[in-house]
Amino acid sequence: MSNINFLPTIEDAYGALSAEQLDILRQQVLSEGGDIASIQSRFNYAWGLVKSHDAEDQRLGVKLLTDIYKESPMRRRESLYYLAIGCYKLGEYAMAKRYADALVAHEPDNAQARTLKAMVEQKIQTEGLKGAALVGAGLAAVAAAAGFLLRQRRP
Amino acid sequence: MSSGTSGDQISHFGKTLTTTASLVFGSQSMEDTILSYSSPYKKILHDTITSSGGTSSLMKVERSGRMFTPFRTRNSAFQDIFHASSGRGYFKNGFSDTRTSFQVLSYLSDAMLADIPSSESAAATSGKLVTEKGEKGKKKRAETAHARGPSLYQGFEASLPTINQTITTHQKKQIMNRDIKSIRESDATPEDVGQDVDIEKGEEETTHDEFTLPKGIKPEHLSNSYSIKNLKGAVQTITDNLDLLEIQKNLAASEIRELDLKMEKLKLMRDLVFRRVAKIEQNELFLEKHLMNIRERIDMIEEYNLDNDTDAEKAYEEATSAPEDTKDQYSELPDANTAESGETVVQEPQVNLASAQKSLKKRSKQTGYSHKNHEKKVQQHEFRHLRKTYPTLQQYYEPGANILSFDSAHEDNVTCLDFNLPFGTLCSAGKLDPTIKVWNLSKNKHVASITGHLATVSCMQMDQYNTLITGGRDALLKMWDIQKAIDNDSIPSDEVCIYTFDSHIDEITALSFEANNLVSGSQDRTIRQWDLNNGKCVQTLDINFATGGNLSRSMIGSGFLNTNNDHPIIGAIQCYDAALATGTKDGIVRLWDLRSGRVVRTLEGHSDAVTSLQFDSLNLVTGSLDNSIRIWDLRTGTLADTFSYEHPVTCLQFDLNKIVVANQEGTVKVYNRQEKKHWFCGGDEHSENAVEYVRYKDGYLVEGRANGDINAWAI
Repeated sequence: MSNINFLPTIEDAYGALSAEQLDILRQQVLSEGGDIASIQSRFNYAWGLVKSHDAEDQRLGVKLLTDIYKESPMRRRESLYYLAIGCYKLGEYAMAKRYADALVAHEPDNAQARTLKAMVEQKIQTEGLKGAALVGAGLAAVAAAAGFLLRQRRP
Repeated sequence: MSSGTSGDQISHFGKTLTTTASLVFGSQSMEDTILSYSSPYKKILHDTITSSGGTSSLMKVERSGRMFTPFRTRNSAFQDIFHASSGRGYFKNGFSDTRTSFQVLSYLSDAMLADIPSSESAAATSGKLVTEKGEKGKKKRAETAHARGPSLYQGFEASLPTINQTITTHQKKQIMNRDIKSIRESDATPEDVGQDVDIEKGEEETTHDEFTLPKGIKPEHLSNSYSIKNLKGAVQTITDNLDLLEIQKNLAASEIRELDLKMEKLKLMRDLVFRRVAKIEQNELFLEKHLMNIRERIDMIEEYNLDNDTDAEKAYEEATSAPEDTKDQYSELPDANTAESGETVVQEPQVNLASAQKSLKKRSKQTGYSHKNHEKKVQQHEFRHLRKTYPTLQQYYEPGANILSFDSAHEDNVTCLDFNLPFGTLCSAGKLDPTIKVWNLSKNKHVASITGHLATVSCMQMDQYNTLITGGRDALLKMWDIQKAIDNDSIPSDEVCIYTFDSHIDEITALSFEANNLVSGSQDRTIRQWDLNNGKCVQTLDINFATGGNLSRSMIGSGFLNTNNDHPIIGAIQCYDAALATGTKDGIVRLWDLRSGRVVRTLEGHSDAVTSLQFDSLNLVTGSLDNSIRIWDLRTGTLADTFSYEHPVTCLQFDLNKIVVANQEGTVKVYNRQEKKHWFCGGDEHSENAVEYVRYKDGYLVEGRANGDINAWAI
């Protein structure tokens, strides 16, 4: 409580755990019986995976978070937040946006959720701009080339 | 913008994919949980114990020095998500790249996204989220966190320090412990499964055996230090540590809540399955009954050479007997639960069978008793080859659970009762009423009343085939075919009675039959042995021991209409083959050899009248008015054990697992022979309404009480 926020910020999703740490978390889940392990243990492992540098591990982490979401209705609000962060980190902005939207829809007053949503939207926008810029650049290049060709052909 | 729409398209595509995928996977996992809930854990247990050929994973880890990877590269199936050491293995398949399959597998449907509980606690969470962010101060935060456990993320952060500690300090040892733990834990019930933090803490406690202060703080430094700054630093560290511990505590608490929820769910599931077992079992009994009838019919045809393939006769019989018989048959169909389809299938034979039974009855009436008995013998012979399904439902009740109750089954106290198999038929008799009542234990209702005795029925025994033998104060022993009464409630009682054994000259107090042997003990101080094949008395054994002045009193006192409760001379009797055991008023248990008609052994020890006894191949258990039960070893003839109660024991029964005792208290006393534990079952300990009589078979206990109530319990 003192040093730990109630929910992680986006920065908390970075800073990978060591392989040993991750493996301890996994062993813990396994020792509790895999699918029937407690939510906390599974979350620990999932979050550890999300923090990882490896995109595949992150994906597995998000998948585990989805399972937690499905299984424990009481934890759903929380899980949405984690899911959104996980997808954000993965670059799955469309998914992240879905989760963030759902979260804000259920908790319109939650500042943290709104921040997250804004962040995701911003990201999508910049990505979109980037895409548009790319397309635009491509078009310009094509036009230039065509113009060049045409100009060459004309005389 | 364009990527936004493309993202939507992807998610839309994903949606269609997932609905199919989730249908496939979802239904499968559902089946898994229902059919074999423990299968994932079993697999892991198996993996843990038998990790490639004999050597346990523990040993292997130690030897090879690979600390953390005993499970790696084991399984990459979809279901074993936790076995996949990285995401790559898990999402890999032949059809799409990992990203697509990830999107499909971790897709949440819109309905699921929308379905977020908005209960009070959830509202509290949302409020809390705001306050968390709103920097309202530590105190408030702590309060709200108390209101509903910490978040998962907090739990994660809180468990990190212990994990790091695990790694840095005694590394090897911890890993070993952990693996041992993992084996032990997956062996245990889910409730025992703690979480990471708890285990770490537990280990800490066992290894250090005491709690330590946080790093860098030493008690002697604190007590000797005069630097306010240092001390304040220490205060800060310890406060932080306390906060951490608080989180861990809350985590564990929320874990418990979670487990409670899970248990609740499992309980619901158990109830469902339980009902399914009950239904199946009823169906089984129903079918079996008809199978029995068909065999009987075949038997009858064979016996009288009536084999006739032309349908004329059948049709004739059908026409004559169909109307009333079908009605009868239907009236006792095991209610709507039984399969509809089964009903139509069996309907045809039913009619024939009913008529067959009728013709059997007619014939046997003409040929008289000996034939009837023969018929019964054939029937019994037939049963030996019959596939018999045994009811198992009572095993799935919680021990001590009340299965059913018949309130005020009799007007006065229940003198005796017996039932054949659990959820089968129960017969009972009351004190002031010479009728025998028949109950259906699976349908929980009264099916028939049988009259015939002239006075109180004081003892009875019933076998698997609904044959009942009763003995009463009218000095008569009667043998009944209860099935007839069940099949047709309006049948006159003298047709239900197969035979009356009439030789005793005083009240019959105990009887026992087995195979073709019936023995009965009476107040006329004799034991008679009867042959059930011809109804003849084979031998008479005299009980001759001195009861002093009691003799004349009991002779006078036990008139037919006398209802005083003088304790019987022969309190209990049981025969098996040529062996006979009797428990008598003088407190002595005698073992007889029926071939010679002599007492082969006497077991002395009880200081008052023996009221009940039972023996199996090893033990003889006797209960007496001296408040005790004694367990004798039959091989050595010595006392093996004895228990004392607060009131006189009136009735007992036992099997290999349990001894059940009625001792005129409000509860049935149960002794668990395996665990050597005493407990009691049913009702209020100090109830006025004492248990008079008890019968126990296969974990199914039926007791009759002083006010006429009859209850069945699972123990």
